[in-house]
Amino acid sequence: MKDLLASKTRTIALSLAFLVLVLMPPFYSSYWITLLTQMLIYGILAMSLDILIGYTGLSSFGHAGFFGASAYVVAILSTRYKMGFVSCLVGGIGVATAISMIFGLLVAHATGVYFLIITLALGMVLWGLAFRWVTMTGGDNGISGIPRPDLGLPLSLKDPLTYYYMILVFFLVCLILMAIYVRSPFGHSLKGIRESESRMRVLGYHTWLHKYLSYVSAAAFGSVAGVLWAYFDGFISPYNMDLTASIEIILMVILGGPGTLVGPALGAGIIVFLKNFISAYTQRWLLILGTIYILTILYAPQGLVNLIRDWLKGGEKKTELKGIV
Amino acid sequence: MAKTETDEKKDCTLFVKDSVPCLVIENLSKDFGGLRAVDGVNLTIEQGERRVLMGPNGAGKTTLFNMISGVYPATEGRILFFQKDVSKLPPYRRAALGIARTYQITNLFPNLTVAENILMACQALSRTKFVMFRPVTSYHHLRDRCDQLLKEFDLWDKRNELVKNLSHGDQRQIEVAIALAGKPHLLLLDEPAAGLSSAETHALTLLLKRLDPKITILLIEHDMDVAFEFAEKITVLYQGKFLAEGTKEEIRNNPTVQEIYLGAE
Repeated sequence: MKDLLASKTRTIALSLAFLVLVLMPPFYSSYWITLLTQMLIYGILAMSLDILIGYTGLSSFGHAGFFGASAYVVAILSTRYKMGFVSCLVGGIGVATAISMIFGLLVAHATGVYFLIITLALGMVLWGLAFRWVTMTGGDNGISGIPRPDLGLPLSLKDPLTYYYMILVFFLVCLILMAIYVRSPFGHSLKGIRESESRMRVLGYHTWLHKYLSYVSAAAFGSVAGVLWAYFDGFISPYNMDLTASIEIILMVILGGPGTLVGPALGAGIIVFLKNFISAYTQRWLLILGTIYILTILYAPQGLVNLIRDWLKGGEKKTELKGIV
Repeated sequence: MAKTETDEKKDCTLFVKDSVPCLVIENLSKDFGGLRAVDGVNLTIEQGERRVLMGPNGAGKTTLFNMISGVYPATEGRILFFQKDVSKLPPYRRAALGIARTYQITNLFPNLTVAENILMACQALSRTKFVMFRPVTSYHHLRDRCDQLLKEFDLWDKRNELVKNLSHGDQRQIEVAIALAGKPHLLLLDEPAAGLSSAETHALTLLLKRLDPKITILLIEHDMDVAFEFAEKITVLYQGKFLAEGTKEEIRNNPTVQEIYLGAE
């Protein structure tokens, strides 16, 4: 009966998502389409961080760095060198992934608070680079005027609705790839590291390598979001990759439910919406962010998706996740 | 290309001759700062032997296990596994050679199900553990091994339960099950019966006696009944040093052992 209820809820949730994301957008105002596009891009970013936080049990405070790095690569390649979409996409993902391969060597031996501090420091290095390497990045002013890509299709991506549907395709592809990834033998090994790294080592896992690959794949998926964001906003500045940006992504993951992929995407939607909605009334966005964080930790430390899941199960079994907050 | 399990284990398995001892420990020591936890221990264990390691708290038994399994590097001395010096190898390489262990304090994956715990151990030594874009449940040789272990250890009915929701006795069973999943040559059991009721202890002893006689087993055990029932030969450590070795009678009648371990009359 409970299972039936759960599968019924799942069907309802899926149909609702299909309705809101696929069928209805042509009838939305351009404000809502833009907002939905932002939600999906940040959804990809939050899901990619979930690989680290929810599945591997490592909280990274520098994830926005990879988002920013790929966005800057797109900005530089498309404005200065007039490169096309595919080159920018490959370049953005390639550079951000390459950076994560170097950073990974430094972070993969750490866990817990040490991991958090090292990733924070490395995230700040990328932010500092964007801020100070003025000749390349434009410093504080950032880079503006990134043109929407021309895919040679009869449809123009300058149209918000067309661009929205392109992002939706990217989002779904990333969601499916990540969903398979976390259910793969490798994804299974990451859950083992989250639960007990010492046990994994004596079972025969080279846990350093697994954590390294987890870090790199999270960065690779996150950099997809960076590429899409650069084209979406047409503008990139150091503020897209500072510490606050990294913390916002963590909040998306924790609010939605770590270790669920869909949860962080939902969390991203809520945070992006609130940010847009609240900033129309007040400048004190960070204050609201902090309040949401505290409320989540107090009342839904396992995240919204797990909260709903427990509630459907009848609340007798609480989902617990360790090593996240 | 279908890979069999033996193919995957080939490069991990040592060439095993019958005459060679399974494990030789030469003059092994471990310092923690100023404290010498293990002090010049020598030990030889033949293939297929069952050996019990005894000693009061702080004797260095678990430290010795940690050194054999590679968790701690040895300060001095060598560990030879089938004549191969493994002293400098990291834990995962030693596991690949066939050294498995359990923990005195249960060390499992609490938020995963029983089946997922066993599966984690089954795929540990297979190369498929690096596959990223194919579901783990699609590997039939892993699932078959997993199902076999679940049935062997009488955990089949509980396979979809989260490990943290199981009783202590069931968790101790899983400790042993996941150590056996990789078909080890040497099994290090660190007080497998810790915290079990006498009925559960009895069941566990029966289970251990049923294990493949080719597996060499080194067992740390405080419970005399289990120890004496399980092994022909017993080694006693005391304050990090080797104290005595012999059959149960020899150990029982050894005056020093009686004094420090069994309690002086």
